[in-house]
Amino acid sequence: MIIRKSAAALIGVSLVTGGALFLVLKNSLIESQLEGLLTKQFNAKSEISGLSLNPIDLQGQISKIEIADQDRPIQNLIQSSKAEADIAGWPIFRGNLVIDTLSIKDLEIGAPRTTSGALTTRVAAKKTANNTGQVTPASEAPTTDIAAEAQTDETNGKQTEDDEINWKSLADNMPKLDLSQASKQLNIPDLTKGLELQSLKQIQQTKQENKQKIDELKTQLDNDDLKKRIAETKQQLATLKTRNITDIKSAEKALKEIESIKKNVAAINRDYKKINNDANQLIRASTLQKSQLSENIRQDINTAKQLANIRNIDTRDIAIILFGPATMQKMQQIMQYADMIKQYIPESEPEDPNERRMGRDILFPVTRGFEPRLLVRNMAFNGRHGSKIFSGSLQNFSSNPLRYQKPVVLSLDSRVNEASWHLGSTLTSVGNNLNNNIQVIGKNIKNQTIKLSKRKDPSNPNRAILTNSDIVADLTVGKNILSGKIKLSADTLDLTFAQKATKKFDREIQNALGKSFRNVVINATLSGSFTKPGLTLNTNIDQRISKRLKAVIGDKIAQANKKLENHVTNSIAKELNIANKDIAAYSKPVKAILSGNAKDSRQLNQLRTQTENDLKAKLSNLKKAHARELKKKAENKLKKSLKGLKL
Amino acid sequence: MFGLNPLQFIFRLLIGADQPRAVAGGLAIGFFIGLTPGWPLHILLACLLLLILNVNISAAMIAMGLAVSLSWLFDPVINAIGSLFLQDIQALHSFWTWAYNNPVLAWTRFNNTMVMGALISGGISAILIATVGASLLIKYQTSWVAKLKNFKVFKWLQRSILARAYAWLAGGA
Repeated sequence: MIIRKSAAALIGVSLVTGGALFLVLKNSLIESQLEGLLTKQFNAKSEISGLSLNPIDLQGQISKIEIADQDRPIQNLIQSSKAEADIAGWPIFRGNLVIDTLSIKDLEIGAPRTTSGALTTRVAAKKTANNTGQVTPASEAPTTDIAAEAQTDETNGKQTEDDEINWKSLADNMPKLDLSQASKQLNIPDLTKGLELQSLKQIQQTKQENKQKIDELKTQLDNDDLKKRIAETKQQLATLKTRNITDIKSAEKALKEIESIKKNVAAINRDYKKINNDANQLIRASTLQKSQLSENIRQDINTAKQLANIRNIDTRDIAIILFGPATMQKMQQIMQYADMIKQYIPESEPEDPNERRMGRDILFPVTRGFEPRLLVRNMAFNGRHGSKIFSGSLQNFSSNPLRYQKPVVLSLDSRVNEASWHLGSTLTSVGNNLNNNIQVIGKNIKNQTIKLSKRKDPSNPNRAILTNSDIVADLTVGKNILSGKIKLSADTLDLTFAQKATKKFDREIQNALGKSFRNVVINATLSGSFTKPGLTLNTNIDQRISKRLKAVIGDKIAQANKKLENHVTNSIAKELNIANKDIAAYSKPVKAILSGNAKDSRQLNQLRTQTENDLKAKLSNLKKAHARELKKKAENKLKKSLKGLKL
Repeated sequence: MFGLNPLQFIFRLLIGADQPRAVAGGLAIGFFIGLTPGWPLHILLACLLLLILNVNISAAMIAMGLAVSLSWLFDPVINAIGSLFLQDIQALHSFWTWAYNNPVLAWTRFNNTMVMGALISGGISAILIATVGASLLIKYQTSWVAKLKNFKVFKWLQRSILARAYAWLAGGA
């Protein structure tokens, strides 16, 4: 016989016994499986008790469900003693827990725990290692629950610092307006203390450059051969003048030499003229003009205004100044919802380490639906948190949303007094696409107070009270980018001040801003990277606030600006004058050289003319003497001839 | 006396005491089980077959030990075979995708390169062992066992105190 009958019978009996054991132990087994999965998912102790399942359809009740808060282990994140679940049967045999429907009633949030909900050392250390992508050696792991908790907090804190928006920095970098300044008699030099004027720098720099040019010119003039050439020519003329000229021939020769010297003198005159022109041009150009500084003067005035913080009442600034920090606070609150939701959605289930003989799992396209380790298809819940009553639903909550691919949809409605709040979110994935939506809607909020400014002076409003307001916030979030808008509308907005006004100016400001604004709408948009999002903000009361403020402080600000402008331009004019005086002083030796050259040149010309004239006169005299001599000789010769004739 | 079974098996094999087909079947199934890492569904089925079918369990145990040792030695090759079938042969992709989405076949962990490599190489080896091994054993029993039994050494061994002690310990061969 090819089959062992006894073995077949034994296997049959084993299967039946196993099945029976499963039926008996299934509740404990599923409880333990569910606890393990929830603990892994929420990174905190999760306890399930009193699970009773119908063995046929696997529908059942849970008498108590507690999930500790990983950030505050002394309290529960959620707790309920009334839950009904419909669990899918086959996935249990595959090691997965798929809950088709889960209904939780009387859900409590933040209920205190009797024992710490922190994970034991090994689990916490493993989870931390998974988070950071590194393996923590057992020897380095903390030894107590508290240490594990501290480490978790530290890790979370670090993540917040590195990856999330620095709300404080954003709020600090917003424009601020100090209205109290307009009430004071402005001491402009004090306000501009420490101001470095670019114009003054430009004056100093140009002065140095021009001084260098003048110095170079002086060196050039000192080394010039013009003086030498003048001296040589003078020497030549003096030689000619003192030469003993006795006959016409030598006189004519000297006159010819004078012609040659004349050409040299003309060349010297030309060179001198050129040098003189160039030098005078350079000296003239060295004198600084105010027009050269106009661009820097304009910039200096703006810088001084910024330093003195005398800002014009710009309608664009009003919204940011008044509501910027408060809007950031609202955004921060909404982002906390996003963070809370996101932290429970890991990117994927941790992969098994690739050991020898483990091989690699090849993932093929999922066509019939991927089954994660934990899946809650539909969950409905209601409960109470303090004075808030809430109800909501959650769909497609899974341990591996990246592969499960169906969006996690959360809807939460709560009611506090007469106000109603709705939180809705659709999280598709945690990839860097803007496809996760979070919406917060608040309706009919009777009195909403917005903290405006930390300043406590009586001229700056520190709170805005919105009556009958609605808020709608839509946020689209990727892993590192976000885009969102908040619309806040209210029937009335009242600005209040921390201190009662005692001075006239403060009273004027408080009267101007203290009257209610009706039908207020504030729109804010936030977009960009998580760490540096850009904020734009506008309100329909910008113009109204601006108008009221301008009526009180507009003139004072205009006057202050004028004073500031004069202060800056006067400072520059003074420095300009000093610089030009310095340049004139530097130019003095150069001018003396030029003057000396001119004198030399004039003397040379005179000498040349005088010498030439002397020579010409000498030649003329010689010629006359020669003529007289010839005449005398001719007369004598004629007399002798006449004597011989003896008529 | 489980540890003595392999010795007993070798002795019985030498004297032709067991059915050749049962021995070959045990070796084939054991080799197949031993080559595959972990306990995927098809290995559990193979274990059930081992228990239900009238095959030699001692032979299976020996083959399993041998296969485990060999798989440690040849796992790069086994892994490469699995990778070849799962990734490189494009024609099989649609089939693998279908199987991957089948809830029962997914339990076989066929999409793991080692499991697939072991399934292919272990399956081929098992068929070869079952067929060629059986015919070799039959040939051995018909032509060699009679001759072996006439050897003086063999007769001496059968009569030796060692053989009798073993027979007593093993509960009689």
